[in-house]
Amino acid sequence: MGMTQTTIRLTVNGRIHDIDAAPDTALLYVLRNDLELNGPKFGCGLGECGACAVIIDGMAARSCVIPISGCVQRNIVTLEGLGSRGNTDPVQDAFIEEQAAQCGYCLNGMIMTTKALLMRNPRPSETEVLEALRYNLCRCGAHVEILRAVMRAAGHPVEARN
Amino acid sequence: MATADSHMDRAPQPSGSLSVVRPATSGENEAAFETFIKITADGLVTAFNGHVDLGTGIRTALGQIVAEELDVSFARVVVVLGDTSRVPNQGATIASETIQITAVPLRNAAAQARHFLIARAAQKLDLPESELTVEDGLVRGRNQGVSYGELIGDDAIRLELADDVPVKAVEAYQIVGQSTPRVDLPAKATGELVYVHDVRVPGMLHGRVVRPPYAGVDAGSFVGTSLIAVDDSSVRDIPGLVAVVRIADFVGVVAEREENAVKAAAQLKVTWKPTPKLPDLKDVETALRANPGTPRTLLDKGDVDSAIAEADKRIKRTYIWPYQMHGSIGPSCSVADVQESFVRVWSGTQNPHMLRADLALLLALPESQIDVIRMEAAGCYGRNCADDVSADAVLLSRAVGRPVRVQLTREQEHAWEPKGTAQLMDVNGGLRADGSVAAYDFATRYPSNGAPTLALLLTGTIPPVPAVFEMGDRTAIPPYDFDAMRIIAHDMPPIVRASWLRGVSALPNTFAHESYIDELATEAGVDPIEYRLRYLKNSRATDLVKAVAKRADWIPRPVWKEPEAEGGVVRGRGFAYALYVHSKFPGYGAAWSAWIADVAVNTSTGDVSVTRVVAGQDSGLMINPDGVRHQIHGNVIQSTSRALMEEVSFDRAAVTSREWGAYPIITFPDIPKIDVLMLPRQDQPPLGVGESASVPSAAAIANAIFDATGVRFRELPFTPDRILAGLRGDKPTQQRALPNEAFKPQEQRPDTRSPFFKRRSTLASITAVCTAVIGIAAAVLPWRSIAPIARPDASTYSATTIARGQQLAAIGNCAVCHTKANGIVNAGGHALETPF
Repeated sequence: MGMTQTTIRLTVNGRIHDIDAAPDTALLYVLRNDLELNGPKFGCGLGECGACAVIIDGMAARSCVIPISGCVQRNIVTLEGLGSRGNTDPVQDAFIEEQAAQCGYCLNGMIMTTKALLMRNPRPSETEVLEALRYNLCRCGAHVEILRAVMRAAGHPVEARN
Repeated sequence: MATADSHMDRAPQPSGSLSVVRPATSGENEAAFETFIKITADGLVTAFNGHVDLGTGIRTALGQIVAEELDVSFARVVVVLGDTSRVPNQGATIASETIQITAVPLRNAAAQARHFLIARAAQKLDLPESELTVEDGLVRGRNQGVSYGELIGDDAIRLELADDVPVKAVEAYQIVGQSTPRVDLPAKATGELVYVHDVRVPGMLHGRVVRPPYAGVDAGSFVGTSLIAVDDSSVRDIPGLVAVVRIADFVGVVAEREENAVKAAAQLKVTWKPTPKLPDLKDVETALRANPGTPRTLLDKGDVDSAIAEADKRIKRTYIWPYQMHGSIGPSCSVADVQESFVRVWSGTQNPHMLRADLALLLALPESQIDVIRMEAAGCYGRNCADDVSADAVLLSRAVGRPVRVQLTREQEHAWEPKGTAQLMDVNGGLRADGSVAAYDFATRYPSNGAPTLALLLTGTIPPVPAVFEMGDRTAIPPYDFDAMRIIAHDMPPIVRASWLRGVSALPNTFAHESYIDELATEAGVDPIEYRLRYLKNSRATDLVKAVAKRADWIPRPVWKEPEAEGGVVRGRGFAYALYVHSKFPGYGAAWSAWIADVAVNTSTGDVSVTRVVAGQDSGLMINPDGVRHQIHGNVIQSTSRALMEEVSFDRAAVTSREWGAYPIITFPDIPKIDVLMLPRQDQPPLGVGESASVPSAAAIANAIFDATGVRFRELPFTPDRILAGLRGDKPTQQRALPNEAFKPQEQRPDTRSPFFKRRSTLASITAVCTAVIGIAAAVLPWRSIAPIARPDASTYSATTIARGQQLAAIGNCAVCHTKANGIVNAGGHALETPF
């Protein structure tokens, strides 16, 4: 049943945390409630929308469908782990610079997915970017600005706004 | 106030302030005044507005307006939005009216404060006002200077808001009209506490609700009366379970840990009475014609009946708009703390004051005991006018006496969000022999969108009667000056739960107006833009239309010509225009908008790709031009998604679209190129820009599809099934057997230059996501397997869609890896590349 509370050791943003929760608890709940991190968001609980994305061992992963038992001895990075205000990651900078959000609820997933993309492919083409973000949903329609932000973060020249 | 560690040797800060207030509008409000502007002696400016930021950036724009009018730097202004204990009651944040309407008293208050302070400075410096200048709150004249803070000192100054204050001339603007970065984005990009979802208070528990089976239906005697039993023993094994709560049809659980509340809600055994049958909403036209309505004449000009009878060519058309979703990416969330002496609710509502009134009714408490603290929410586009979850949270908190955080599940959000309602438009009219419009007889049917707060209905606090509102009339009168016009809105009760959705009834009404005039132009043998200009009298409208045509290099085409197909793809372009007229009839206009859409239609698959949109807008004065551009982009993308693919599905009892696979929205590879044209109208009053660019969308795309194919599509969405049916000349609503030619040898690679190279079928996308998810879950056992997802009813997808999915799965060669030797095709057993 996986109901038994056990202690599970997680490494999040470079820090070790011992978590008392059932092993089948979705990583997202532990990040948000035990570690009080705001970056990853609950969007669907089905891995469909990407709002909950974190980076695990260098790859973008959907924390709403990953149990904490699968995260032991993994290196988990959240939006907060990328950078904070005043000490931002270049990807965060690019998103702020391009004003790449409206409500911003999807922003965590967009930034984390971009970061993971650039870690494995530092200079993706536009087609590769579109493909990488295909399963990250945005309802406000900030796609134009998000695409510009990713291209900027990837070091591509960005045209004047229109 | 001194504290233990304060430095006693420092001179005390002056404690005074200058406020601009008006008497409170709500009699029950404890505070006798509502404050618009408060300037404290430290020079900080706080601006209060009753509206909220729905993710459109109005916090930034309002800050610009205040900074401009007060002559302080933008950084000095803090904008407080929506908290019921702090901001004026200015109604719901709807109809794109924050800047156009709600900002007016704020701007006046800032101007009033500035005039007061200048007068005080003149006295203090003994100089005439005409010799004073202000820069960032520092008043200067003849080498002397005094700051706003110094002018306030220890005084408690309260000015009553006046409406006859002289405001700055537009020519003098330095902050308003300049693109200004959004103040909220650094916090959002770094994971600071921003959203209602992020609120954590000491002692907070987690709640989840269990909704009745009549998902998405909120009227009828069964609402609030369908619960038979709740079996508490079914959740006895859940660790940290605090309570199971039931009040009539309201059921919820509370637990110490969120995942356990989730488990308890899923596991709780609840017995419900059978749910009555809904009208068949697969056939929206029949359902809306059968829904009883009251005709209301909005305009009756000329002798319409005679003009139609005498027309040389009579043309009668019907246009159909489906139920659609707001589709907020973040399911609704709220934290409530209900105590004996106070109630505090952190909420993402669009209308904090109305919500407070609803909560007071629900809890049987005076409004003055309830404080609604407005936090940011996920973009909601009208949905959070019914912020059901705040009411859920207060009920659960009251039951356990501790703060409770509640978030809806994705399934609940999809099923229960009040939908953007379906709409039916009939146009009768025709042409005279000279090709001019003989008459325009228009009738629109719009089931109402009241959407009372759900818990009020579920608990039986208010009766579940279907209320009728006059809301189908937005932009019901076309922008064209026809000689004979009759415009009728049939006001009718809801069929299923509905609320405002961006563009409201204006979007469907404009779909009809702009499709019909396009048909008339074709019949008359006149270029569709030229034809519109004959009837468009307002010079701002004609300026916009001409500017957009020029920007897009529109080539006049009086006669439709069949385009040449390239590799099975035909291309076309379409035009549409609208002035979004909203609010209580006759209402008023927001920004003017015009679209030229380019489409590519694959005649063998029925896929429509919107490849480019030139979106022109006259917004009057743009406070933050980059913000306006962002709104135009967002409207173009969201409304393209609505036109191409969005339709809520129902069975005969409830909503059946319950996750993103069943209600797909546009994704990155399908986003059109967008060319925004913003007319410079900085000398004109600001107009609402939150919705206008959505309004011409569907008609522009439909007109472009006609240009590409020669077929008119009068029902949304323009899905491959509907397009194929239209191209074959079928009645479009029927689902058909699969044409055999859909199966082609798999070796054919899609042409990378084709607009469809980037597009996969919906089903294939869902399959890909599900495969990825299952792959991860399988690799990290022991996982209790993925939360069970009901296999979608095969009838949800047409035979064509399923066939395309099969075809694409075949092209993707999934079976090569995912079939064991002599095994079942796609049996699995091969993990994906993941960190696990």
